[in-house]
Amino acid sequence: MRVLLVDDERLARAELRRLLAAHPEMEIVGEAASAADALTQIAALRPDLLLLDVQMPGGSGFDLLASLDDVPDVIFTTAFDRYALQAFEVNALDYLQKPIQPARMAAALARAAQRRQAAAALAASAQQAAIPVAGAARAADKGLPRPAPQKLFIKDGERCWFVGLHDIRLFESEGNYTRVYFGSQQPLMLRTLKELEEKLDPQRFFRASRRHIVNLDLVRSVAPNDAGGLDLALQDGPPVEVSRRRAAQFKILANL
Amino acid sequence: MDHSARPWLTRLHWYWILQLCGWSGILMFMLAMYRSALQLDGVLLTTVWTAASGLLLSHGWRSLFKRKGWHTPRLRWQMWTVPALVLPPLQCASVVLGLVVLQDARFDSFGFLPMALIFWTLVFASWTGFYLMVKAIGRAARFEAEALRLEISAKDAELRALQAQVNPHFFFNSLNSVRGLMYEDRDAAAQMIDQLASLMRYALQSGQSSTVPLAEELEAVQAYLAIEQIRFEERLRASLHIEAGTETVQVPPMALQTLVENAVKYGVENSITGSDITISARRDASGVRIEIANTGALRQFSNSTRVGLNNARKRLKLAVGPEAGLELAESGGWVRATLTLPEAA
Repeated sequence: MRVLLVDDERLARAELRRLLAAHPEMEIVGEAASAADALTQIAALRPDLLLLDVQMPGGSGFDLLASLDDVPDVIFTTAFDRYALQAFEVNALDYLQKPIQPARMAAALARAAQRRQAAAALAASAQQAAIPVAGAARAADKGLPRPAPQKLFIKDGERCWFVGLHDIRLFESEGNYTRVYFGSQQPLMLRTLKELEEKLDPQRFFRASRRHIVNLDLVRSVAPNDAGGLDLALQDGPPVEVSRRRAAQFKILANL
Repeated sequence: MDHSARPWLTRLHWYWILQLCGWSGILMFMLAMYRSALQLDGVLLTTVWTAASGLLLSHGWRSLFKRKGWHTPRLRWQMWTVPALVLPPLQCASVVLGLVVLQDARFDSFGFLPMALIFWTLVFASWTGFYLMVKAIGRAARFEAEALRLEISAKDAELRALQAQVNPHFFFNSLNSVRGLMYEDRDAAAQMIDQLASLMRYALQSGQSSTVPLAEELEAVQAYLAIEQIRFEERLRASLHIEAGTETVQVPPMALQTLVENAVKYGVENSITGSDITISARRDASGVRIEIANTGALRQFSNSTRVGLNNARKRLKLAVGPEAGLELAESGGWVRATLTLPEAA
């Protein structure tokens, strides 16, 4: 795995390096000393894993993640930060307390490797299920070699969520924000629906209307409505209307 | 002890003022009633006798109250039966005695007795009601004062505990750094552990005395800065300017240290380029001024900052004296915390 180390203290980064030396399968691709530095390095190096300090000058580790479109796997490192870690609602978070004990580091890395394998398997099965359609062809035409993101990091006020895309049912536009529905949660994230649409896999995430992007895997039932469009029922949350214009495309994608 | 004696004295004072006012009022009332008979022999004297007897009876009644310890908020049947059934007959007996002694009266009938009993019942019942009311008000005020005092002492204990605490974020980061340093420079790592130990010891002992000499506090501050220097390297640029003769001024333990920690937190830890930190102590007309400055901007004061600053100021005044002060201000790209301390005694 390709790892980027993010910590503002040189000695702390040296410690991470020393601990990772026991794990030859981990390749350290770079070091960043601030959130801004990390942002450029993530874009340039595309690491698989971040070892990320929670408290940094010029923006916390949480702020850094919230500003990323495609979030690599993350293991947080922190000296003492009970409150920040409590902010997490979803347990998809791993963190290590400084000074980091070698055994804990090994366990966290093993979990990261496991998550990576699971994500790869999921992506492979999605690939198999996918049928080449107009949307994907268009994307290919534009020459966008984009691996779709697997995870979103959402920071709504003091609370944070790290959520797999396969768990998200629906994105609902609220002006400059988008409400994200998953599990029993529906936090707001600071992205427009349009920005999200550009990043999401069109095979799975369908722009049903001006206000909604829906996860096709999680549509429970489809019914024609009076306006000539479709009404989609999801496992939970508001019903989603597909406009007449987009209904035909939906039928192709959903293989109806 | 002396703070409990004072309210008792003032209460006694008020008791007698109200007693005398009340019974003078009743005396006036009776004099007005008997004004047509005042020229008769002994009538004036009997009226005064009556009022005095009422005053004595009510005072006796109060003594009974006190002796029985009936000052709990609970109402008791005695509180109403005594002024209704015991005190009025006693007063009437005293009045009759007064009439006999002072006016040499002979009684053919006691037809005046029922009216007199009703009158004195009303008087003593009102007296008791008023007395209980004043007591209740006093009790409420005392209760409130006590609650306030407890709250303040609890706050103070809390503040002391908070102040004595070593910031865990700092502590664990330091341990992490020293472990890293061990692989680079063993001697420097050993020295860092010494500094961490002396800072910890100082912080743990800080609750024991209300003030320490500035020199002692500065030793801890220097240990702290040396540790942070290793963590932040070139991002922390600290300098001290301590004027000779200021080392003996008394400061609350950890007062300076807390301010330096804040300067490091906001100036260095939150900044990519870091900050200069200057600590200076100098003497001026009003005493000794200690200034801790870091480069940067003062953020909009949050509520917790304001509360923290106010508490620090209160503690400072409590420990050193009312002339001591603490100010936080920003000017020319520097944030300055200034401690003003009165001259050491």
